[in-house]
Amino acid sequence: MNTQNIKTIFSKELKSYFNSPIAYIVMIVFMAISGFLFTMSFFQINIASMREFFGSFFIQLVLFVVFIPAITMRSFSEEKKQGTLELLLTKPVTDLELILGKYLSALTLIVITLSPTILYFIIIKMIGPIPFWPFLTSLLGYILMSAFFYRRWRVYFITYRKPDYCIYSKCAYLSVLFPFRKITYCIPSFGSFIF
Amino acid sequence: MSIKVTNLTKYYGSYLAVDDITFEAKKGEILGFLGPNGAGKSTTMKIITTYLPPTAGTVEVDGFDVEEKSLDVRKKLGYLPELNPLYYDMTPVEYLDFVAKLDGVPASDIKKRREEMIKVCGLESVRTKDIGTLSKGFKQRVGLAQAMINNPDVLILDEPTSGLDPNQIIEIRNLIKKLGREKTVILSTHILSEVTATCNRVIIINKGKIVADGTPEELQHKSKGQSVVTLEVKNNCDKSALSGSLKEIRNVNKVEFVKDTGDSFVFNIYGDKGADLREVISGKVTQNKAVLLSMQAKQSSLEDIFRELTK
Repeated sequence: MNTQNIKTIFSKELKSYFNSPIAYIVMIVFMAISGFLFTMSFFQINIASMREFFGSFFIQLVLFVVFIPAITMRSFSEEKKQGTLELLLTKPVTDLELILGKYLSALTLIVITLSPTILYFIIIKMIGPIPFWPFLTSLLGYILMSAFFYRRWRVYFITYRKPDYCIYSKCAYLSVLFPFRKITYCIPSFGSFIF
Repeated sequence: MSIKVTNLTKYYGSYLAVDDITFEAKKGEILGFLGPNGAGKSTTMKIITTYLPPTAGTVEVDGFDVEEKSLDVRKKLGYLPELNPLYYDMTPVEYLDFVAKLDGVPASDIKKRREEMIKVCGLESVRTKDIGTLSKGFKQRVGLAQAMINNPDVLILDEPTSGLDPNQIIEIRNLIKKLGREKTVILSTHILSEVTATCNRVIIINKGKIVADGTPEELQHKSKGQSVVTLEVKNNCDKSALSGSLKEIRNVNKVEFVKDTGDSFVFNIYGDKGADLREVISGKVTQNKAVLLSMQAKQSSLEDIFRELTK
């Protein structure tokens, strides 16, 4: 495995996210919606905790069903549509290098998007006692969950040529199944099976 | 630096795209792939460039099998696909640097190679513009620059001159000819004049099968068409007597009166293949006391051969 190739693909992908408005729009929309939802319930409950952020069904829905597909869509379907996949697959790059490069760049974008939540933590810390480790593990959980959903979405996008068709079908599918996600608490492996 | 295709067959589902073709391309050869739409040109190219796996048969590039040693094959290749793959949000400079890095061009050489390609392909004026905003001709040139940036031993170009203006076409053809001296080049096209202008070998494929293989001259020779002589005489002679006596010549199959231009008659005389009728015709013309104005023997062109073979 050639790390130089992974680096080349990684930086090209990350650059293309930030070259187009999509990364900015998605990040701003996510921060606005999640911020709104979080502060609403935060002040109602009146406890110095971020449980309402990391446990919120709607924030998860926005992140996993809207945000992740929006960035996944670019990474393979667009390449297929533009014909650039043919370019990448006829260059001396292995499939693993290509996928890892794209995967790591998407993960980086997710980390960048979720990193402003540290601000929430700092502000809450100023006004009340909030333990650090549960916050960090929750954030890590979100990142890992996003990585998992990125992979799931990619399988969908890679099999379809038209990104918009599969986004509708998969959205409908996930929205129906999402409320039942609590099942995964009892049978963890079931989660990866249905999503 | 040879390409060896042996008994290559490719099915798309139940559709047979390439049917048991075998050919070889050597160093210094510019091989033209000709064929009507859907003949299997692009499919063959995609298999050579490791993008698609063959259903049966083998393809070797410089001794490396495309399936087993695909990475080694890719290192030797420069490929311009039919659907020119470009990232529209990059500038030509960024794009060429990206491709050069992927191709494994050493970091110290990237700038040199890129500048060379920009010069060769005439991209100087658009180097910092987004590729998405460029015209089709410029996009095509960026694609060509991309294919050649790693100085490959084997160049595969799928319709390299589509979308270019006549001046650019000539430039690109000259470039391909120059490169072809020390590389192996395969190019596909449906512009027949391009083949005679650039290629030193032609393969015509139709419905997945090779129907002709040889130099453009050889193919013209092989054609089973007939020879045609266009004759123009002054109109002070007896038209029907002349055409009657022309018909008597051995090897002449048909004499056709084309038109009366006002002061001359024009005839088309169809004869057997390979027969040079001009001498006998001029004899007959003087026999009939007609005044010969012009006479032209038409060779069967590559176009005729193409139509004959792919009908």
